[in-house]
Amino acid sequence: MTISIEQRLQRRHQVEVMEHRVEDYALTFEQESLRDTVGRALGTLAEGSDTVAERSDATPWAADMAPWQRACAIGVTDLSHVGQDGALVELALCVELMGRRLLRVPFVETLIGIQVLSAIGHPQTETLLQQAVAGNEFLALCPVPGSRLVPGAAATRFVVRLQPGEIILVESTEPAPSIHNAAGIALGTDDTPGSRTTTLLAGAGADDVARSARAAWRVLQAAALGGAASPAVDLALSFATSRHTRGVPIGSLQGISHPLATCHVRLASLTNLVRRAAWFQDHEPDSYPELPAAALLTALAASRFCVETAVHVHGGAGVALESPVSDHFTWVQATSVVAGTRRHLLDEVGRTLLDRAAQEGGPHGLRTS
Amino acid sequence: MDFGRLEDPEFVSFVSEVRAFLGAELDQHRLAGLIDRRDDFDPAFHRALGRRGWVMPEWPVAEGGAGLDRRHARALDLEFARAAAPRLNLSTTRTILPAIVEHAAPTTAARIATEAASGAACIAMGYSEPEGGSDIAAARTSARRDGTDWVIHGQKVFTTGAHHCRYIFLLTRTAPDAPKHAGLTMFLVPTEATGVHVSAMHTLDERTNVVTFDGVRVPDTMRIGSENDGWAVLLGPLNREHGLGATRHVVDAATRHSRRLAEALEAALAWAVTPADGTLPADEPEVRRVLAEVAVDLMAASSTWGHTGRIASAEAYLGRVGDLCELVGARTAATGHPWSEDPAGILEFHRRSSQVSTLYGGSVEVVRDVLAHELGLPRWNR
Repeated sequence: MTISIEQRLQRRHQVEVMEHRVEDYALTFEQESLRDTVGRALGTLAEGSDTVAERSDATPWAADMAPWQRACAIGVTDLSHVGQDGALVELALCVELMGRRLLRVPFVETLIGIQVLSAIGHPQTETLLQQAVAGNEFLALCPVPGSRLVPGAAATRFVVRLQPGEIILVESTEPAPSIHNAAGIALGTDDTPGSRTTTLLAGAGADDVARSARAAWRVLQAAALGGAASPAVDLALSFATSRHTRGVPIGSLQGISHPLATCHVRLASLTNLVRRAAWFQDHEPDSYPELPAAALLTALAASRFCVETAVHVHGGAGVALESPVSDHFTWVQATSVVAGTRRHLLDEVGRTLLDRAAQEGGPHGLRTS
Repeated sequence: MDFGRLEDPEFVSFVSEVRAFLGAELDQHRLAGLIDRRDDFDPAFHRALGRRGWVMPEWPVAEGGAGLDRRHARALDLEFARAAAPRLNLSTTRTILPAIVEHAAPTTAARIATEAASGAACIAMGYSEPEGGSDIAAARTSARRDGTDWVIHGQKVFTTGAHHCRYIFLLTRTAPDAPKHAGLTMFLVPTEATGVHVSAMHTLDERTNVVTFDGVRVPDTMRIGSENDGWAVLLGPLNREHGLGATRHVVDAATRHSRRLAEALEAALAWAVTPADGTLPADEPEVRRVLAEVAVDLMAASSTWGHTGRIASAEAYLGRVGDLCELVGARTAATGHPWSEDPAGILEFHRRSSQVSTLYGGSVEVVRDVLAHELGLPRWNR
């Protein structure tokens, strides 16, 4: 039995790759300029590079306050304000640079927190919002209920909780106890002392805001992970060119060069998928709602593969804590596990695909358009 | 950056026109014959394409094309993919013809361009050799000057579609003592020429050919480009085949592999939402997990092109179709094809077809070597 020509021509597809769409990943002049400016502010581009302040054991993220505040001063946090239509693409570009810089401050959580607070516009959070936008206050984010670990909570007294049917702001007298981690990012427990809870929004509206925030959070985490992994691969490429074994550079051996080529392939895919996911979130959030989770899943696998490969290529030199490449490893290690659980993300993507197939597919995936 | 739907009235009308054409020109019975023979080419359909200027859609109308821009040409290609239209030697002809026009003697170029763009003649790729594998620059097929002619001896493999083609774009060695890439010359050899023997060779998913050249005599006017400059001539078609350049090429391999994986994924989704024996596969967490993993790989792979896209899409296609077959189970053991009504049949076809994706047009290892060099790594010193 075969499908008729008419059936093939009339069917509706389930995946975007089979649709007639513009496929333009190029950055506009303004986007290129933004990236350039933010890169200088963060010190990821040569002219803006600054001396990293001494990291304290108790609050290692505090050393990154200066670059963060410079980024805020040039308007990065303004991009998170609701009303800045279509800004997730731009935010992802900025966040990728923050990932490259391995910022320990909770930049993604603060940006998403600003998005949530500005979307709700609760009078009680007006000052907090201004302080966060100015770079004087961080926001922590608890994107799923029941989480014992709150990204950002060790750096701030304010936690935005996205719960079923409500969005809550938890204000404490002091930041949550810090959870020590090799990367030195600001992780806190949810045992915030002396906390005061305010429901900012409840009902269906809260779920809409939370859904949008979660999607944006995933896209930005994916961008940050790609940003953090990319310089590790650059370090490995450089090492593989200068390190010799048996009279040849190790990078001339396929056992080294091919995994590094694979890193490049995976980062290229990730960079573009993040752009695609961000664009869809900005312009057509309902068309392919699985894209943010897909971007994050791609980022989890790609960033892990890249930092593991990069450290491995360095050999013993890579695992030394003095080695720059090990910083990228620990940052990705800590950040990727707080960004989302692979099995939950996959199940969500699977359900989204199957719901669409069931609604639109009909018998044999065929439906007239 | 823009990923918006193409939905302006002119574009929508163009897509409708393409669909109407495909509906009128694709014949179910002829296609059934092609499926039986595993032969992805229909001469009558190809001639119909030529009449519309769609063999070379981006060429000006006066030169036998349809004057389409890149966007419309891509739309044409996507509709062909959706319809599973037979187009094997459409791809090879499109890839090669610009090199003929650029490098052949003017009268030869004009004649071949007219024949090929009109759909009357197709061109096959004569690159690979039994001893060469992906290292096509190691070609041994020899061409020797004899007066105003050249005499060719040798053998090519995977000369896919040669039995439908009027010409083979042939890579030969003309200076055996020169460095590997410096002693090559390209020819356009008529398949009707005395001494050309085309014989069938069957692969996992298609019929291809072994072609022997036994003292084949071709005039110097069929030499394409300068003597011993064949590698430079061939690079254009190779780059088009590999989808290199700033933007995704219309018929690059990465796009083809991604679309095929999309077809396989859609077949598996259709299976998962169809109740069987009182249960629904979609209700099982493992089914959702595998389908999601495949979809995520597809989204990542289809976001890139050129060398990176070639590797990502070929490996996603090969790696993931097997996962889908294992998910669906025994039904995917029965021989199927792209037109199967049973989703399992579609998956079975892709299981076989995907195996060649990491090899066709050069193995992914060769592509990794090229990428590594582009990334600044030193070449392996042989």
